[in-house]
Amino acid sequence: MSELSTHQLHFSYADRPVFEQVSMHLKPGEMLALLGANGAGKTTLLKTLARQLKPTSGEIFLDAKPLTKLTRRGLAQQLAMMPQHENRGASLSVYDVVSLGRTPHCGWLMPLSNNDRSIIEQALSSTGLTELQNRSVHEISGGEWRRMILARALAQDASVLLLDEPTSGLDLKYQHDCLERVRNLTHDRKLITVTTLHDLNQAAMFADRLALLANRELIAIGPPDQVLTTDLIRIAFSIEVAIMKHPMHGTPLVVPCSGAMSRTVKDQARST
Amino acid sequence: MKRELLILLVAFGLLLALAVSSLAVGAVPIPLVDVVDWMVNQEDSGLSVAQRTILWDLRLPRIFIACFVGGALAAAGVGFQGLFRNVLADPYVIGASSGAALGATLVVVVGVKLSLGGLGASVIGPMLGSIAVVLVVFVVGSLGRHASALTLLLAGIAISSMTNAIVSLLMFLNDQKAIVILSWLMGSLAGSDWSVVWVTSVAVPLGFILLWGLARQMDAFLLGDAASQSLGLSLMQFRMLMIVGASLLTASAVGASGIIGFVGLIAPQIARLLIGAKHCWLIPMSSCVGAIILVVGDAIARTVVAPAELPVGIVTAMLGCPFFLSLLLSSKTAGRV
Amino acid sequence: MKRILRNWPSTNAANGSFSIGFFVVLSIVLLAACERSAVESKAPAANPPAANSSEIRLVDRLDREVRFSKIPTRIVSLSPSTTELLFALGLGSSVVGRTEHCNYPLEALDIAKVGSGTLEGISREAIVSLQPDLVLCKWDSHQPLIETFEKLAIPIVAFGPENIEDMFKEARWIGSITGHQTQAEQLVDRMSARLERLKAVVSKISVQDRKRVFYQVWDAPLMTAGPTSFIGELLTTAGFNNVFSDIANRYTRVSSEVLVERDPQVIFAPTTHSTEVKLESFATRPGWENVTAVREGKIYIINGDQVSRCGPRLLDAMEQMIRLGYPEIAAGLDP
Repeated sequence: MSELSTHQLHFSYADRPVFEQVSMHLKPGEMLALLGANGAGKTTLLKTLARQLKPTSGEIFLDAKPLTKLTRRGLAQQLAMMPQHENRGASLSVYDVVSLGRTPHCGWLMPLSNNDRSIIEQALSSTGLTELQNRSVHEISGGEWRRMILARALAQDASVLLLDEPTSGLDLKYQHDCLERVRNLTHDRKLITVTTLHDLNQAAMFADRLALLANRELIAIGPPDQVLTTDLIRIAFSIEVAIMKHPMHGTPLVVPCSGAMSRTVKDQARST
Repeated sequence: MKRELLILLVAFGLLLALAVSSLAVGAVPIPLVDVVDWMVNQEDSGLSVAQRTILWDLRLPRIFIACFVGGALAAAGVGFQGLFRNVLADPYVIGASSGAALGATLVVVVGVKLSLGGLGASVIGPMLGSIAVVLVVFVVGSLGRHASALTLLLAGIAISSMTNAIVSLLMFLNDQKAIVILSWLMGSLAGSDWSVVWVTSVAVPLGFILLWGLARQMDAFLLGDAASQSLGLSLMQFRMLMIVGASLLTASAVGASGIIGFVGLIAPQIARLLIGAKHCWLIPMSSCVGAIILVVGDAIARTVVAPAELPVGIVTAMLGCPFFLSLLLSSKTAGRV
Repeated sequence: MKRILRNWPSTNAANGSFSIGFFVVLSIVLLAACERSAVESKAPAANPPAANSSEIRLVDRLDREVRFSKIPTRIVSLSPSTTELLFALGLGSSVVGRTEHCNYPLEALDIAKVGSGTLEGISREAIVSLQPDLVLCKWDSHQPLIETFEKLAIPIVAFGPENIEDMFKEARWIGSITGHQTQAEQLVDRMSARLERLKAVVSKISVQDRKRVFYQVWDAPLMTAGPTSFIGELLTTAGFNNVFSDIANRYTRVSSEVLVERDPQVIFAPTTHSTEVKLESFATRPGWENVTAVREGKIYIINGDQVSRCGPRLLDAMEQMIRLGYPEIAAGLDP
């Protein structure tokens, strides 16, 4: 169980700043959804947390230890990242790809132990891939591919999960399945999960806290009610919305209002 | 028993059988029964002195070296194909062959006579030359902020070309010794003797184990730089270990037999089609296939136009290509590359 | 370490057993190699120090000292010129192995072949199976063979004369090793006398009348023989001026431009076993039509086997050159 915090994180590409002064503190068992418009820097922030990009200034601490002090292997044992895009790679089986998640834990020249195997099997069943485990990766659908990458990240058995658009390419049922599994795992095993999402309603339904990136900074971080307001969404997404309550879950439900649409409704109202 | 293990054991068994039977084959045919008799009874067998000399001093070291060199080149081929994520890479792609040629040329031109532990300068020179040039390529190709597999490859091409030009120049200036260098460059197992066997039997397993130990990391590396980093690979360290292991294998191979092409490129492809792409199986299978190709190729090379000998590189290309093509086109293995 | 031991019983037994099998095989190989090297290290005694004063010592062209305690009677020759020399010394019956190109004299064709002339074409097995007690190889291209045969304790001597004096010296070497010193001296005397006669005939040509000659070793790429080769020496002794007397290598590529500029009066080309040399082809080469030798048709083919081997027939080649190049003084030569 670990705590993750960032302190005054800055990142810029050459002369173009992406985000500045990002500070946050995450506790075990917490799922954070990172929201923002395209190009706001969500993926960049996630990659910086995964130490795939180097911040221009600022620090990231895992359990009060700076992230930069860990070796790659040590980092991979505690932090797992699920990228948005990835090469298909060689034609291994689904089981073999998921088992690569055990790489940071396995010794040199040592085959997988029984413990390794049970973790892999658990990861496969958490993502519903047990029946597909012997299929070659070139023979599975895009959605199954995404689930396999998630399973690999789960097999890493890390205390921090960073997921970049985990629902992209999945149909509605699997989107919800995926987020629900991730949320349950986060709560049950006291993990920290940071995930970038486009769908604000899904974020509201599943995440414990939301973080909104806009204009190169974190303009809000807190429970869904606090972050999903019409004003904040207007600033971040330049779109008019109406906020309602979800009929089943009571979480905020964001309903976009288009300018043209509202005029039509007014016209209809006038004519009847 | 796992399918892959069965395939590997069959390949290994085939290698042993071919190695033993190739003892009976050569410019001087010795019946297989006599060979087995000699293996069992040693001094008490019915063979003449000449036959025993041929078997022990000429053929047996040659077959050992064929196994080690074939296995080494094939494993190095897998290594470089993984490192560059490209199935067209072969063991000589970052300068190992041009470095070996330079080492061999300098030894002949300068007239070095020393030997180390029974190994002549004609073995040590190419080995050191090979390692030296690869080192230079690695350092040059890793400089700069944007070092990647591509810069390594380009540095390899540029430095190889330059080294080859230096070799040609040295050969031109020393025409009397050029003939020796030229024939060495063509690659041959004919000069094999026991002193070379001992160095390959130490260096080749070392390099092999280093690469085999990186098998899981090689699988991860194929997923891409970002993905493999997130799985705990230090890219710099991984690249360095891979190059050390693969170059040790290549240097031993060229020291033992000169530059034999083709095996390091095609054996991994054949192994991939037979056993799949998972490196913990691919590496040993590739070595078995490479050893088989070279053992059989050498047996043919020293027999088919006896008493003359063909350069072994010609035979391996003519053997390996049709077999590889037939595998490629067969429906069972289609789609595995 | 503890983790390794804890996990060992439950690991995939097959992976482990394969590694074990591999190491077992490796150990066997190392053991076999070690045993043999232990035996090998006693081998140098195979050439024992002279028990009697009749041991012959020879220093060959590579400055290697080779010792003979008895006269060799089974000789393998790896060069056509050496084969011719052996027969000329009356040792034809002692020759048990030759290369493909050793085709003179005709009796040589009955001898067993051990390969073609180049290093990679020679089979060590074939040589060993003939059980030779002397192997004569080329000093420049057969060096790897020397390593092999030294280890097998078979005497091997590196030869390769680069001029006529060298050839006499090597004839005497062979004579001394094989107890044919008289025949060697006779051969040297005969050839020296003939050489003197040829030189005397050539001396009749005054310095200004010496013709410019081009010797074509190969046509594409254009290659010639320089003054340091024995062919270069032949040309000079036969009364010609080699147009390429300023090159350092024995045989090298040269440029057509320089050749056209230096305008040879005579061109010699040897016959080869691979292609036919066509006289007409010279005139078609760009720029060659104006070369004196081409205009006057003074392009001559010489017997390749004689001129390319620094052996007993070398003087035959020289005489051919004199007859073709200076027909007017050819009358002074032996018919």
